[in-house]
Amino acid sequence: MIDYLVAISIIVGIYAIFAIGLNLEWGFTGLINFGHVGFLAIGAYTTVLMNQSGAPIWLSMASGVVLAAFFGLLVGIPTLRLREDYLAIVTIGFSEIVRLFLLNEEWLTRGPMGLFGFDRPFEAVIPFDYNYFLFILVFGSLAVIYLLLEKLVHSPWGRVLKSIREDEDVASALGKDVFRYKIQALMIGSAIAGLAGAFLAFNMQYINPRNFIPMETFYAWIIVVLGGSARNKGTILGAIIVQSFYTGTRYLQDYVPLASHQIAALRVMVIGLLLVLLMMYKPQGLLGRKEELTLGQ
Amino acid sequence: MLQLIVNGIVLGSIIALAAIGLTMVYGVLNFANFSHADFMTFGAYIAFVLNVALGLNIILSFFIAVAIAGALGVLLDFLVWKPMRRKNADLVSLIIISIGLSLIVRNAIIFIWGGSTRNFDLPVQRGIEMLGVTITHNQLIGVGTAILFMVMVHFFLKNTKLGKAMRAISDDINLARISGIDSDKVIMWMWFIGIGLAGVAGILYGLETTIRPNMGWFLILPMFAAVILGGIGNPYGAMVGGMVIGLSQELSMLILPSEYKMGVSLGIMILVLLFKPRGLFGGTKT
Amino acid sequence: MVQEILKVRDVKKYFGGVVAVDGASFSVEEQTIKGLIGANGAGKTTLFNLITGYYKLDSGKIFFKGERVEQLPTFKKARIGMVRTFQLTKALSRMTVLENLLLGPKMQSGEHIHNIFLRPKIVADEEAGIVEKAIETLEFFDLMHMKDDYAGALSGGQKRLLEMARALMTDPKMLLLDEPFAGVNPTLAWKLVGRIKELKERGMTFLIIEHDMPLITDVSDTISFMNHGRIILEGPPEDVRQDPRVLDAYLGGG
Repeated sequence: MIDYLVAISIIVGIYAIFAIGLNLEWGFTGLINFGHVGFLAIGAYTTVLMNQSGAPIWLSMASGVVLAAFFGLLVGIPTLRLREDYLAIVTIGFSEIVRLFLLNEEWLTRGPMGLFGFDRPFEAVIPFDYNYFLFILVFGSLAVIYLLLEKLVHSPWGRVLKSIREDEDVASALGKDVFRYKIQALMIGSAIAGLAGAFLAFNMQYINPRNFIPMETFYAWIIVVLGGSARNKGTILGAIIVQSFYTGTRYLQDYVPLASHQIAALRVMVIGLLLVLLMMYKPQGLLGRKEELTLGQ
Repeated sequence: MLQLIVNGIVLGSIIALAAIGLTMVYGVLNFANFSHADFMTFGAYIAFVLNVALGLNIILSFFIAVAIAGALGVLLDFLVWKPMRRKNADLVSLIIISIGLSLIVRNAIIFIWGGSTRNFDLPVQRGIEMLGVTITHNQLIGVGTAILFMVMVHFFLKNTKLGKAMRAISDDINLARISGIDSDKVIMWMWFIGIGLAGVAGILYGLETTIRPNMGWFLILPMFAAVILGGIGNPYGAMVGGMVIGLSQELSMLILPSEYKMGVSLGIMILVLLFKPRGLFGGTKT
Repeated sequence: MVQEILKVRDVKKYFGGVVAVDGASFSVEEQTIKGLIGANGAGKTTLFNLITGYYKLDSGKIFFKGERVEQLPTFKKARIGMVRTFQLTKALSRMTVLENLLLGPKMQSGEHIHNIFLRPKIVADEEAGIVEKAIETLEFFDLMHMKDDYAGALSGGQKRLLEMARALMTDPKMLLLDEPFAGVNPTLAWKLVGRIKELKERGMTFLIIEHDMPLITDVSDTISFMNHGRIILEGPPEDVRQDPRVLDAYLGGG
């Protein structure tokens, strides 16, 4: 039983990290990033490929994070000066191109067959069930990231991000170089997603392009919106709830006369409905403050 | 290469039709409706049910399905979009809602019909061979119908009171309201027509290829590219944009592996956004 | 030697086929208050947007403190001391009044990530100084009692004060105010006039768009009158206000 909970918790932790990166971009800075999964993929594949070519696992992981941040920069440069909705459209395109690349460049990624057979940190030396170590690694990282982000977000730098979210024109009028801050937020968020990608790889011990479809981005979105955007605690809560929902519905099959693909579809429908209802009636999510959002324009 | 041009025209006309509805919503309500593509899929599946499960002939199925799609558009306006207008919801909320709707529609289709591909109940016909190029009957019907509908849209926008009202609202909704236009009613009709056209495009796409749950979502990027290329809010721009995107995607196979076709739409879109953000023909928004 | 802090020469702006600003020229002397009046649609806010960089000029030149600045992006203009407020108040609603003000000062070291982690003491000290200045400013504008409220909860008039307070935190050389008295109750408005004059004595320059004649006539040292995208008339408030062209534009209608 404990083993099972540990296994589930690891997934919660990975999604929490993934979503917390998005929360920085969307919750604090107001960037509509619909391509977040692309950076997850870059983190995962870079980690695995580098390790399989002989690099030590920690270096591979670091490279995954750095490369994800770098792609955040590349994507940001042409798009962050554009209107927010253009960013949404282009970022979806970006993550799909990444997925298509992973699917088709078989010489590099083995395409749909995916990759397996790579090291995991300290695997050789852990005497007990590796999952326990992975749990510590993931939640330890989550804790560190959480603390760092909280510090950043409550600093003058975070203040500028919030002002950009509220009204870019004001931020510019006060002398802030809006573009630079947006790029920084996107790069940090992408780096965090890259780290989540590495952890994803360690957890599943096998990655293939199907793990990196746009739906993953929208899982991050529901986690952030549900928890209350701009509330990092809420994001973690959101991850717990969404993952519990996901795992819980897996068992529905035993009690309900529905095929597994139908349950999967129903699951996504519920998430879609939740997104619609939240944005319509409770946009501040679970932990957001209502006063903040009834203040309209 | 001629074959690619033919395929490009076919694909382009489908994208063009779908893009008209998308650009109208974008121009009038000022947000990117990510669920638009899934109404293409919806239209195709409804037509499929009517045609295959209920045995109705394809033409009847077509019109009923399109009407149902339009009706769904109106229903959603009533349930979701109008209340959000009343709340003065911001752009981002609308976009996220549209993502939610897209997930619901697409997965409802998977829930009901599963993920396998379907086809309309039509006799298989040999295509026409011409100049070394094969044109299937379905392709001809597809392009013909698309052009017919585009002409109808043109006529509607230029000559009917409702059409002119739509153009007015697209330009400046407050000015239009002051001139006495009932914006809510016009918007309702806009949804009916826009989503109905998406349904048409979906059915034609199902005719040309197959019917599957992701068929619409697969075209979301080319559709947005067409809208941006043509100028947001500009239906004629969307028509031309659609054709250009369709042709570019097919012709790109001359130099790119076919799996990256979507990259062409993305590339064109980025170029337009960087160098001519108002599109080739100027939309109503910057 | 009196300096012209702002010089606008022959600025033109077209929107599609429509001329919004049609060769506007004027100057503002340092440590003065200039009013900019004109009927709706005359091009005043557009001119503001052109001066501060929200719109790109189609032609013309703009000089600030002697340097050509029309190509500079808005944020760079703010950094060299040209700061504006907006016609529709843009209070950052989901931030507190105090936070709104703390945003103001330029070049805060805490706005750079590396400083937050490598030089926390410097950031903390600077922040304390900024908070002090913010509190002073809040008292100057009588907003102290609302400092921890969300800016979105303020009344229209208070939001106008907030905008000006926030702009002042940037330590500007010149403030461009777009209808700062609109929707503000008369008592508050006249108090604001007093504050503006006080700030002028402390060395600031103002360019103010306003429709309320008594207010603008009282607060300004000179007034420029704009019509159809051009500056038609400039001079002392009393003269301009009684000029037949001005009366015509305001009373003649259209």
